[in-house]
Amino acid sequence: MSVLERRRIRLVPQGSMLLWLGFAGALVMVIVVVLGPLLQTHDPYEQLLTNRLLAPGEEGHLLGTDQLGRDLYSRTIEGFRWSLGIGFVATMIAAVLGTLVGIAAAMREGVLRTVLTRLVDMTIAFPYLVIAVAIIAVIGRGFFALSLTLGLVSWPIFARVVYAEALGLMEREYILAAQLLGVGAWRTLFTHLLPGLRPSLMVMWAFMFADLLIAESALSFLGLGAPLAAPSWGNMLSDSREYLATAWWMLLAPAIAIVVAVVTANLIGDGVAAESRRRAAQART
Amino acid sequence: MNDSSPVGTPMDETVPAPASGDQPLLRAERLRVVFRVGQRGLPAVNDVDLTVSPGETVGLVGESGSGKSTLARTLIRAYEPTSGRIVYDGQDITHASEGALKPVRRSMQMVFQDPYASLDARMSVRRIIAEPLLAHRVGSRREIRERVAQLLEDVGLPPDSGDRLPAQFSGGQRQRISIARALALETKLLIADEPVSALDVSIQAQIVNLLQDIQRDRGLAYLVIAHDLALIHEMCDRVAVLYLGEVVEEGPADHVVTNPQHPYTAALLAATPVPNPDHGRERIVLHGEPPSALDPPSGCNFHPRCPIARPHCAEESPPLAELPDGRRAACFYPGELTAVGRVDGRSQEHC
Repeated sequence: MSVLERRRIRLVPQGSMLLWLGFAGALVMVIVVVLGPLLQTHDPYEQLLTNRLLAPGEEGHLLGTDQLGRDLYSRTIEGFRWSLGIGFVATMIAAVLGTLVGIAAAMREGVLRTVLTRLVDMTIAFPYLVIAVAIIAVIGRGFFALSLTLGLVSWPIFARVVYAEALGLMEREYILAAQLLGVGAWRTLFTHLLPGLRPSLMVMWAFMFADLLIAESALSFLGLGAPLAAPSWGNMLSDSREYLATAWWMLLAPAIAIVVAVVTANLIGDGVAAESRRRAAQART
Repeated sequence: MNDSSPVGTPMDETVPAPASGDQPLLRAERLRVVFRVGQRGLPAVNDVDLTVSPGETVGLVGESGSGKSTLARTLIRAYEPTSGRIVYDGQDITHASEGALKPVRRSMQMVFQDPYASLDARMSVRRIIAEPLLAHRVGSRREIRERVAQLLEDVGLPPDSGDRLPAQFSGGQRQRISIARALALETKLLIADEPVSALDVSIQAQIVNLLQDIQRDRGLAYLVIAHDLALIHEMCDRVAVLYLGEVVEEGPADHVVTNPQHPYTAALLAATPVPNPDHGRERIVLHGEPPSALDPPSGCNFHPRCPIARPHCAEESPPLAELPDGRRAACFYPGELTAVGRVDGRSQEHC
């Protein structure tokens, strides 16, 4: 059997393998989020100062305890709900807002386009920490405050990409053909424009989700994130900072969770990008 | 253009009615389309008069950049004209809004040059052909399905084509899909922008035949845009030759193609390949590039490249004047340069 023939035996191409790995990771994460409390061995919020800073395995604490005696394993599991939830809602806000603005700017020439593109430029130029402080000052720390903050600082990236891509699609002859057939703007939006944008939206969604997971940690680390007691991964990392020398395990669980989630999102993003490139190449022949 | 010309009569405001005497289906009067290029205006279409009568086939010829596609796309109101008038089916659509154009879009359709770019690669053929029906809310789901099946048959595509994607078809078949889409509603006028020039030569004749069959069966009017005079001769009743956005010669296709009166038409004809090179036409080689519409030459637009230009041509612009045989040509010396005088006997009997 020659080398060439052996290559053909692979069931799925390399690119899709990584994509499937990403989907598998995402599935596991969704299961952890849904089953959450069933997987926990302790109450993630319960403090027991006599049990503080236990090493992994001691007293039935799988991953040890933190400075207040809370079970790190249960907190990390609960952290899936906080961190992935915030990441999901924030990415959704950014995607919906950005897509609306991007498409509106691309489809309507004139004043609206100028206003919207300037708005996007302004938002990108605005320091996101200032927006974060402002929102938290108004509605306080919490799940939705943090989601809203992250969504409001990241939608312009969606808007820019969607605008550029939609502008390109609007130049396509099939869009002109649709207009000349009497297809209205809304129908064109739903039958031609959005399906054309879908691959880019999916890829951007995955990468944005990964970025916002890290941003959530950063904001929590700065004390602008989730409420202090909440077991978000960013909060847990922030807590671990002072005990790094004595209780290294406090850092480990949230750090690994963040890395796994970010890598999973990136695998999906890369995989979808490769898949849509492959399909585009196929459609051209 | 101005009225003080040494030759011919001044251009009429109205275009002479076609032989049938019908009201024209589409009439353009003194149509101008000016694109803005920075601070300057680029006149892509300049004072063009054109009519298409019901059932008639009119050709637009000219080289790249002559404004023929812009003219066609303005007539179907993809662009808004700068000045002039477009009357379609008795309705002035010159500046009609997209909403007011909706009924017009039911019966004026377009087939594009590129059968790849003009079909959405993500949509099944059934959805592509059904798109105009859905957009105009014509018929129930079942009626639309039946209509699509009928249209597929009409354009000679296999019945199972509906579920497939455009990528699974050849260029010629895609052009059939495009034609089926253009026929889905109650089409009266079909504008075909270079409908076969992107196709293999062996396929071109099939598409031309299909268009001719459809016209015979349904009595459609065609406006065919092409750079190929042989195709125009084959398909068209009348032809208008465009140069730099202006009509330089207009008349019955048979007369214009076989016995051009304007030197530019003669040069176009001379450039058309003939089956037997030994009995070829006289060569007319035009020098230089077509001038830029941003900076048109003085006098006659064509004079810098014209083999028979006189000093006079650089000073004054010739009007589109009617010649004795009924056609019109914008030249002070019509018929002086001819590409066919020497050998092509078949063409001569027409003159």
